[in-house]
Amino acid sequence: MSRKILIGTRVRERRLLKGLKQAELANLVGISGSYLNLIEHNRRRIGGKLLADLARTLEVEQSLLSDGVEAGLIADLRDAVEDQPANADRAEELAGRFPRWAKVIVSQKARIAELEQRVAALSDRVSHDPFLSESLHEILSTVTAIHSTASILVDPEQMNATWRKRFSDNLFSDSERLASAGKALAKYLDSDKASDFEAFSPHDELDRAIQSVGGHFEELETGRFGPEGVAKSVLQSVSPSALALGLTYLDRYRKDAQALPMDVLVPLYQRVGCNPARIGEETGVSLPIVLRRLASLPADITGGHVGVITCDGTGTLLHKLPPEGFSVPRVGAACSLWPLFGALLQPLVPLHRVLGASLRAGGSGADGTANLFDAYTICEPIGQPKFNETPTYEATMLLVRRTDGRGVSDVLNVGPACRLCPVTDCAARRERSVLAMGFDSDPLNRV
Amino acid sequence: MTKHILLIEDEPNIIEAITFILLRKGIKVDAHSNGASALETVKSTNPDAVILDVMLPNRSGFDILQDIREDTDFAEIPVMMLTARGQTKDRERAMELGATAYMTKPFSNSDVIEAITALLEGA
Repeated sequence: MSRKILIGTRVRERRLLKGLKQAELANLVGISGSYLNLIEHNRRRIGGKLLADLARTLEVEQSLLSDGVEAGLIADLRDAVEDQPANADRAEELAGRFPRWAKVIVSQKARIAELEQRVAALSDRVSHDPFLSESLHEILSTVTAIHSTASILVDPEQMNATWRKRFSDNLFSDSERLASAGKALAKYLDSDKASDFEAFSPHDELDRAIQSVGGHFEELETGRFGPEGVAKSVLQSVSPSALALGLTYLDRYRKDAQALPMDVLVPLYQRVGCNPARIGEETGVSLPIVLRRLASLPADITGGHVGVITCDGTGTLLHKLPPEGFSVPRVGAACSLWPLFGALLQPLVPLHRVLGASLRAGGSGADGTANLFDAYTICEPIGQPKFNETPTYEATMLLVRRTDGRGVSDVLNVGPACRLCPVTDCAARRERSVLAMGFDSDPLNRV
Repeated sequence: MTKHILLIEDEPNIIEAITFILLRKGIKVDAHSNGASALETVKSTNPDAVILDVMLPNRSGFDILQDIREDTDFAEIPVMMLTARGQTKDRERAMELGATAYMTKPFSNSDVIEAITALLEGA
């Protein structure tokens, strides 16, 4: 369709928007009503002075009549005022008369949407970050205890000296606990802010990339791309060290996927559940591969309740990809009670324990449900054994969150790491906690 | 007749404070601080009402509330939930599971006394 043909239609639309009759507009620009009628029905071409006169009289830019308004801008503007239908009807008029302002509105709307998404993401994080949730609970519970105790102490009602001493002691210990929990939270938030922009190690970088696809690489599953092809899209912005680790990780993922393809694993998982031993028996695939494959199931199948953590023979954590609710230290050593480390002492012996995982050992999770996990662990030598060479080992711990804690009796309570764990009578404690034992309290009360 | 409350809460100093203020009001308090065997304690103490924390070791307060409501002997017992989080979804979940009342930490002693009195009057 000719560009010129549409000019008449635009003139007609603008005239109607201004509430002018055909004869009135014709009179204002010095032409006959019948000629304007022919123009508006695209039966006469116009340009030059007449086009300029019409644009001036209709109070629009000449280019609007000749070129029209970009359809995309009108659509964006309508979207921007979608909650105000009355204004949406006039989007074209605004875009036509004030195209630059229209673009400002559209870009502001896009910015608002982006900021809203960030707020939602941060809010979601506060709700689901186990450390924040537990810390908040710790702080509010301590505040409650202090408030109740202080109210009792200031109550004019008689209280014997023993009770008064007891409540005074409680008040003191709770105030110390509150100060410690507050400091720990502030410290965590500070380090967390920094880590939004930089990962602590190449493994952290790689883990973030793996988590960005939910631990599941569809292109490797289907064979559409090899490790290099997947790395180009998923690992394009990581450091060279993380990329090197990633290529090794993706190569093993591909081999694991060939050994136990999804079309075999998914029906089995749906039939027998997250049962590594049964899946290993039925497929003849080794347990380490079964554990890794279960961890790579898509979240829409597992409900996001499955994760995996690995470490090398020194106990250094390699991949930290836990399910929601299982806290893992960002830096430093983890809780030595994790079966992951016990497995290093018994290579090739599969271990199964139910873990009560929380900052308060065995406590409840961020959503209030019991924080129990089935931990399936095995330690295996890496690579082919070589004569007269001590193999290096890697342990894998598959974690499956239990949605129901009923019927569980033998629970191994673990924490994320000593500094984040308030349990006082733990034989495995290697350093003081910042939560319950007092961040700055000195065992010898030195000033 | 002396009224009797079971307090299921894992903060020892909260237990001590609530026990003290309710005792002053002539209400007997039993305390239980672990989620694992809470229902058994409800059965053995047979209280007039239960104060139940949401976040407990080994078992969440929501699961315990569900157990209580599924037990025909205690399906109607008044239960007030305590939590450190006042999120709407938690309140809704507690009420859906059959909580009688809901109190968010931090609360004052007078809040507790008022709520427990109302709970016992309705029992």
